[in-house]
Amino acid sequence: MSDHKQQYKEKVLKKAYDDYVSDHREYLAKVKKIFLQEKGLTFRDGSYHSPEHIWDWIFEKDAPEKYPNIFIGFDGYDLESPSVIKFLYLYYSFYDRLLAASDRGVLIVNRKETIPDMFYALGSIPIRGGAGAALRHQRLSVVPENFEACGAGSSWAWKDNRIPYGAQVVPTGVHCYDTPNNALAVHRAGKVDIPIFYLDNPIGSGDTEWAIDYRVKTLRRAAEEISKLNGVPVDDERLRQEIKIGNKVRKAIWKIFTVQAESPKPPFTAHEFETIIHSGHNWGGEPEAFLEVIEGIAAEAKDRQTHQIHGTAIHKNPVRIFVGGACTHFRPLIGHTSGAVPVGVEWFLVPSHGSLNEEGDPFRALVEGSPLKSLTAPLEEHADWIVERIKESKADGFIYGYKWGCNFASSAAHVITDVVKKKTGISTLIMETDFIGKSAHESGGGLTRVEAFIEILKQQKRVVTKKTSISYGARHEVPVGVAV
Amino acid sequence: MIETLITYDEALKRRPDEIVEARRNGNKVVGLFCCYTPVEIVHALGLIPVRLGWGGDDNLAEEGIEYITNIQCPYVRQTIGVFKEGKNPYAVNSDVVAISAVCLQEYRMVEVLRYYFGKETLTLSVPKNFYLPEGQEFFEKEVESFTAELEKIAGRKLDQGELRKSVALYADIRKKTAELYDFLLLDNSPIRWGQIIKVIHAGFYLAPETHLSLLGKLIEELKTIPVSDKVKPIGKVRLVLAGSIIAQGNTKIIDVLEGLGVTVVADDICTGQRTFVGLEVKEPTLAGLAKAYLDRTPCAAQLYPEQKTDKRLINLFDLIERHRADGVLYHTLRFCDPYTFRVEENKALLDARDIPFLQLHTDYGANDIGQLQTRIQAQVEIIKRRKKEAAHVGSQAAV
Repeated sequence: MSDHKQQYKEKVLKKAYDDYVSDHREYLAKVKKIFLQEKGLTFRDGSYHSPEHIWDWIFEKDAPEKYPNIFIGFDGYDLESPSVIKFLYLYYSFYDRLLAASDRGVLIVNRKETIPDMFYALGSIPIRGGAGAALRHQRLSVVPENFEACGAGSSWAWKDNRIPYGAQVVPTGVHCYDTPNNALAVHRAGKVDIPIFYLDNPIGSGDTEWAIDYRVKTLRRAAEEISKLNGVPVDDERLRQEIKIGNKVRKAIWKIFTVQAESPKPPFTAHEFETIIHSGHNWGGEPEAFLEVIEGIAAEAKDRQTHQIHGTAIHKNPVRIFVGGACTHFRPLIGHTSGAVPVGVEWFLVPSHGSLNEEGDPFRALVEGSPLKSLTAPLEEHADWIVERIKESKADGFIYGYKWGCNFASSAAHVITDVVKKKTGISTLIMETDFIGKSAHESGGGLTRVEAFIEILKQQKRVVTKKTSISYGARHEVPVGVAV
Repeated sequence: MIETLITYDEALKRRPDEIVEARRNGNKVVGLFCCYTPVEIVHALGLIPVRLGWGGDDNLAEEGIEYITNIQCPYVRQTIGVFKEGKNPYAVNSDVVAISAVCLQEYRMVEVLRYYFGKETLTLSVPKNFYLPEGQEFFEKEVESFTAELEKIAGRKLDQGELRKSVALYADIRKKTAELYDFLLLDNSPIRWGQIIKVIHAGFYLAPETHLSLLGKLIEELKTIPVSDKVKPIGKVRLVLAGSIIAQGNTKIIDVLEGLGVTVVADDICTGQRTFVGLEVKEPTLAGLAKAYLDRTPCAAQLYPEQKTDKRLINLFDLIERHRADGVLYHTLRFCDPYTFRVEENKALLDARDIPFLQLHTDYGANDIGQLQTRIQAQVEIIKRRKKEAAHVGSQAAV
């Protein structure tokens, strides 16, 4: 590690941990007592992770030393919920477990934007995205193969062995253009021994019979390729079982979204809500344990809603923001800006939308029921998916975010925000950010824009709530400024 | 002076009026993007095919940003700008805009044209797994479905006899275009590469019959040009131009190269030599067309895992060898990911063969012309010196 990085880790990140612990000493002692009464988590390999181990990992040993940055924004989590603590363990220990699993010979698959069911059924651990666990936790440098590509889509992590993957199974035609290109560039630049296979979603093909057939065959072929690598046979029944687990996971995540969306004063803070729904991408590397945890959070969410328990510091009549686009989040901005709360994030929610057929050909089920369909649909249909979620979550404003260098998501920005404006009447903001929103939450420019947007929404909300309860589609007709 | 090039210019001047007249008589115009659409089908159905897509105008590229963003490639931005401006006769007169979806940015551009400009659009989906049997099977079905949509536009069914004629017509065009490039094999070509590119671009708009006839005349004329009038390469440095699209109207790179007297002897551009390289329709049927188009020398946007059998790279090395090139200029448009992602690999492969490589990363602005000139000049000087040294070593060895 370079001196600069070491200093950053010690001075800035470590301070985040120290500050958090010193500010919450009594609270932590209280929740520790509650948590240690809980049962632990059992993983697929039969190992039991006790509550003591989980607590130590997060608060006393591993995380404070290796990943102190996770304590930035940590006060957004409701640690009185045991499921949340277990969730944090699964979420943040993923990278360590990934390395350990690789050492045991488990196949790690760089699978980018696909749902994880098939990979777990084949005994492998899928990891999504260029950033993945390694970058999220360690803030590793990002050096793209193509300097005009986005950071996450083309991270160097795949090239320099920071993620010990043994295969690349990369979808095309979904909402990322850089990942398939980068996967090939990395493959050709020294990783030729690691097989690469494209899960093709031919762009613009729609759901024609032959397009589905093609995707089913492609998926099955990919499964066979993985099977050749790790010796785990392709077993339709096992895949159906995995889909059943996956459906429950998706349902639980959707339930969490629904609770946040339905509550006038949402129960989750920006940090907590986004981190939890984001986890639908990887399932923490442990499907059953993850399911147990996420169902626990969903049940607690419902409980919070019933008892009108809201997230820390959420305003009594908050401005509700729905975030669209790809690979960006605005939780540090929305969370730190008084009076706003995220009620949905498209790219976190998409992988958990809908349920797959649990009978028949499981590969066909994965294709036909793919939650990622909205991303490959024509732009207007993609926008309609967002419009529906905005209506469900009664959002007051829509931020469409994309990362610099992401051609595919950026090229959709204007059409999607225009459709949203026309069909919901709410105000929209297009935000270009740097790596995983870094510039947005670390630069004054991004902060100012989001704060100004939220201020506008607050003004609009005052107008709307004072005059009348106006339904979606009509709000834009309200003369702005009349009642301000 | 090449007389037939003047005839081309005249034909191009007349073409917009011909198209307007044809539309008045009930003919439909199909504007095509990308080179994976079997143009033969469009032609055989009595529709008028024109290949769309423009470059070289920074102002129009700026106009396009209103509908997308400034991190799309300038070709995509400008093409949207052209539709916004509403003056280009081929954009204005396209009854339907059809795209073979290979480049995702270009596909998105067509979606933008549909949404903001109300253009009727058609998509021919192209599989990325083009080398697998299921990919080929999928594309065959896509071509059938695409044809059915075109039949609706044309108001008639595809006639096999007409298709056979169209396949033969376009095969002749490709053959003649290849003959044109063969002149660049010579030490003193009677035609410059920049002129050939413009001829190909003219063919995107002209009726194919007219284009074929003019190609024949051009080739015959070139054979008669005296040696004194032929191109004299500076320092006898011969270069291949590879990389991103050089669309109609984009003369920036051509002008810079010709201004420096640099001799381009081949290209692997989708609006240049790759319009015909590796494209051979063996069977005049929809299945035959699907197979031929999918098997063609691929664009970098088509992702092919194995390096050794990558037809794009094989073609590049074949061009270098056949055209006796001394180096490669690798042109990448800003934000053209498929080609920019391949830079390091191409450079490494060429370095390993001791073939000089220079990336020209640019857009349609004029601000980097000076830099481009300097870099290309420096590259030419390096190559000249290397050739001189090699010749010296060779002569000493002979002594």
